[in-house]
Amino acid sequence: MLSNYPVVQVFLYALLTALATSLGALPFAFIPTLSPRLAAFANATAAGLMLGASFGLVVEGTRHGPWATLVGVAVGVFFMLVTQRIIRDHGHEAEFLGARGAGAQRMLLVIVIMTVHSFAEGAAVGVSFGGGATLAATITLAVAVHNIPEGLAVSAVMRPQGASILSCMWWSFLSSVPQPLAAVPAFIFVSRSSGALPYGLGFAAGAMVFMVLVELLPEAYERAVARSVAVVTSLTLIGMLLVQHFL
Amino acid sequence: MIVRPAASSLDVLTLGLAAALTASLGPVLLVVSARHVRRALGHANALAAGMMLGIGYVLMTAGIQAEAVGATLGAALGVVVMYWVHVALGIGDVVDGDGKHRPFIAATVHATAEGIALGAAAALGHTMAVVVAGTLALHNASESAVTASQMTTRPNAGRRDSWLAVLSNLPQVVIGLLVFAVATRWPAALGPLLGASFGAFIYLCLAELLPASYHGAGRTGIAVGVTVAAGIVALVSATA
Repeated sequence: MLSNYPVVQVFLYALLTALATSLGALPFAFIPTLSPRLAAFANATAAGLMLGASFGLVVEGTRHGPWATLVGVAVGVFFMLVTQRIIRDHGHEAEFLGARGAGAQRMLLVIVIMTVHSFAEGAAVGVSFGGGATLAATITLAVAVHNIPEGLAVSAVMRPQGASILSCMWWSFLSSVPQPLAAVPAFIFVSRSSGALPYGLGFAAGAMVFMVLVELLPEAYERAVARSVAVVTSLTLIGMLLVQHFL
Repeated sequence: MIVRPAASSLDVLTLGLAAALTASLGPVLLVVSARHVRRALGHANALAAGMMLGIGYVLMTAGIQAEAVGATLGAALGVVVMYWVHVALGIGDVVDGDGKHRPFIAATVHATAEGIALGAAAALGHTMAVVVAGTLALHNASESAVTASQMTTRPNAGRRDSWLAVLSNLPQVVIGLLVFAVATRWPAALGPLLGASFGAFIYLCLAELLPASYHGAGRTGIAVGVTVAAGIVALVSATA
């Protein structure tokens, strides 16, 4: 029946991928408080997941155009520099979910990045519907499962700042809301979207790598031995690559 | 994936030696930038890390194409082995005065991982070998500047440091030749070897280069430096 309304079908499929993001907060229901060492490993895990996701985005982007992907990466880094400057200028006033200052800035940055890069993923879901039902189902499943660790990454930053599980789930979901919003126009303009895709994928990767290098890794290094952080981040990254490959 | 050993052992030898010799430039750079040494070293580490990540990306992409599971397992093995070597040698531990040669040992461990990358890249073809060796050469210059700064407190020690920097990078040549021979004789080993070099590179960046960068320079500058260096290396490799 839904196949008679392809736009509604695209929207619902993409909404499901966004809902999957909130599942990433669930593991934190079993970890009531985070010690500094555990917080460092949570940051290291989030860094590995984001680096792994960036790797996949760049691989996909370069298939459509290496130069366009690199331009997207550069724009993503520039966007983050500007965003960081704006947030920092108001850093002393920043308050978000009860956290203030640097903690609030970090949460805002993570949510902004995840939200922005969700547009590219939503576009990917929408475009995939132009390639038939099987391709659409595969890409939707891949994005949905890929979203769970992204929700984990959002929650790994928010939870140590005192955010509740429901808040973590809600903001994880919200960070992926652009997916259904982007999927529909991407589906409608599927041929045009394919040209913009490498820019979007590169943008998302650049923004995520910037976030990892400016926020997550320095925080992790301050609270744990560098080689422990390195082994957790590296193995998480490799695990993410394996998951992406089999999806 | 079809393995095209367009590169020869002689190519690996000459490219590896050239990359190792550029390490001698590091101590010279250190002298030139002595006035702003702390900040310069932070940026040198960031550039070295970015280039390492860029090569790692290229090699892992090729490894996944060659054999995804083998490359992934190889990457995990590369991480675990490097971690074990760090723990066994005490690299990264807080040391007293007796630890002055640890940077030299650490550089030698780096060179081993770089040798795997060079040999595996050469098995992918001559162009890839040149790109990887060129990147390693630039990386070695940045890396040896940092190593030299950690090993000496005496002025005018540049010549000795230059030779030590080259010496610490020679395993790159030997391991490169060995890995090239293995990868061309047993093509099934190429995927795991490419993965192993990726895993080792990622671990070394995260365990050594990036933490050292943060001690010397600001987070934002490091993020931009790493991303730009990695992006350029990945793009050059993709279009080569």
